[in-house]
Amino acid sequence: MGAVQWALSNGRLLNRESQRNIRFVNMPELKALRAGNPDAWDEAFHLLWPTAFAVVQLKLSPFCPADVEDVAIEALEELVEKVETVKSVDELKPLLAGIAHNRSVSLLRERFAKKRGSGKVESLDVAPNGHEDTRLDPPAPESSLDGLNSADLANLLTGLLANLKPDHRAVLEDFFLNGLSYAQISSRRGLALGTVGVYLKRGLEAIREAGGEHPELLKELEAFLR
Amino acid sequence: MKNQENVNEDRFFDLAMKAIARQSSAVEKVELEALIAAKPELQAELDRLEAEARLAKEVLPILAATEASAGELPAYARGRLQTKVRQTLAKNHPPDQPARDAEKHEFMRWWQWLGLATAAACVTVVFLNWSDPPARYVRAAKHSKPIIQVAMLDSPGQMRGVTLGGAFTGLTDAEIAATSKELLLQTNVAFFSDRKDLNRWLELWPNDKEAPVVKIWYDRDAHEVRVQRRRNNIVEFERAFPVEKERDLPSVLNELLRRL
Repeated sequence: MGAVQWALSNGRLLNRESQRNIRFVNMPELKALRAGNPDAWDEAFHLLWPTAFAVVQLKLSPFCPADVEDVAIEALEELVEKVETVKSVDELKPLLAGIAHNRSVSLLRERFAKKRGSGKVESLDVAPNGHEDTRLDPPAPESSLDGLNSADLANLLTGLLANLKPDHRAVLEDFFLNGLSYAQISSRRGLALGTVGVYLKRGLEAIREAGGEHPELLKELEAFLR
Repeated sequence: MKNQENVNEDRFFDLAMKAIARQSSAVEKVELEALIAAKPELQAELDRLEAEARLAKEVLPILAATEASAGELPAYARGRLQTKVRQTLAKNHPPDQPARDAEKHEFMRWWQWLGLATAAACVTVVFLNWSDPPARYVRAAKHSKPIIQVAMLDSPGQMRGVTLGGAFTGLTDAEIAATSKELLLQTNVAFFSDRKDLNRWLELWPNDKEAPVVKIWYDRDAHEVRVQRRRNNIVEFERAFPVEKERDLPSVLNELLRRL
């Protein structure tokens, strides 16, 4: 896999088979990383930084923008500690994302707990995005990811990267994140109206499959939503 | 009959999705309620879809962020991260004999350069003071020979110069002291293994009204050489020079001298 293919994978243009074969461009060998080879880690840090920064930014930029870089660096430090737990370099990015996410959530909890007073800690996992409320209020208090440690979240992300088809994912994002209607998605993606529903269904099935290793995740959510 | 069931299932799914996304029309809301009333087990299905939709909303942005590829690691973070690598993974990477020899050779070369740089700094500062001096500076220049102090911080936490599981991993303090005596006879040299001691050293400045005082210290933990020049206890110059690899020290010191 070369740089072009990786770039394409970011644009989600790869077919399912290619997506399974994604490898990090120039990611050093796990053996070298485990041995503490500084050159290997230099390369790894270079490749992993965008992930750490983007995940932390997603969570913190509306509330603690000044802390984004620091938390991203801390996430990379924690990844160094956990490098012996992974089986392949492909697991590093999802694991880093899990670490970065959980560190960001912890920081938000700490900050807002202090503001609210002791003993009043709530989940702060749901970060606002461009389509939701972005006031500088504390983040929403409930999250389906609260029960997951960084390794579990990494597994969930790895499962999604492997099983969620790019076109299904695009429709899910249009519908749930961008708030587009069936008709708008149909027009935007050049899909039949019925196909939009089918893609949504398949996409949710892939998410259910990836979350299948963490049944408590969906159970808790269902219980909460009742 | 089977086809009719599929049609109803698809219709229920579409209506459920619209309800979850708050995109339902009044008619569609009524239709969904009617379907659930006719088949109460659909309520559980609606709950499940709502949970999955919520999970999708939370996890999709993280998934996109995981694949991000833009952005450069800040230069200042590199030293900190490499320190973490050494502290965490040093036990996996005991240097072999050639590596230790190479490290020792590199270290000796660094001190040679530091000695040279210190001497050059003296020459540079004196030269700057004496070259084409305005009359009012001539008298002061005669008394303003710069005081140069050099130090190095190399904390034991980095497993250098200590034994680890019986394996010797680097230079000993005695070797460092001998090297410094040999190469830096004309210069104050201080070795610190504790940052607090280095900080105390940095607080102590000679009380000289005329001469500039230059402190140069190599923070091996942070991979940087720092320099501060004061005159009459007023900071005139301060700067950090990152040392990405110890073999880069000569060029770093040249840059330091150029800036000084």
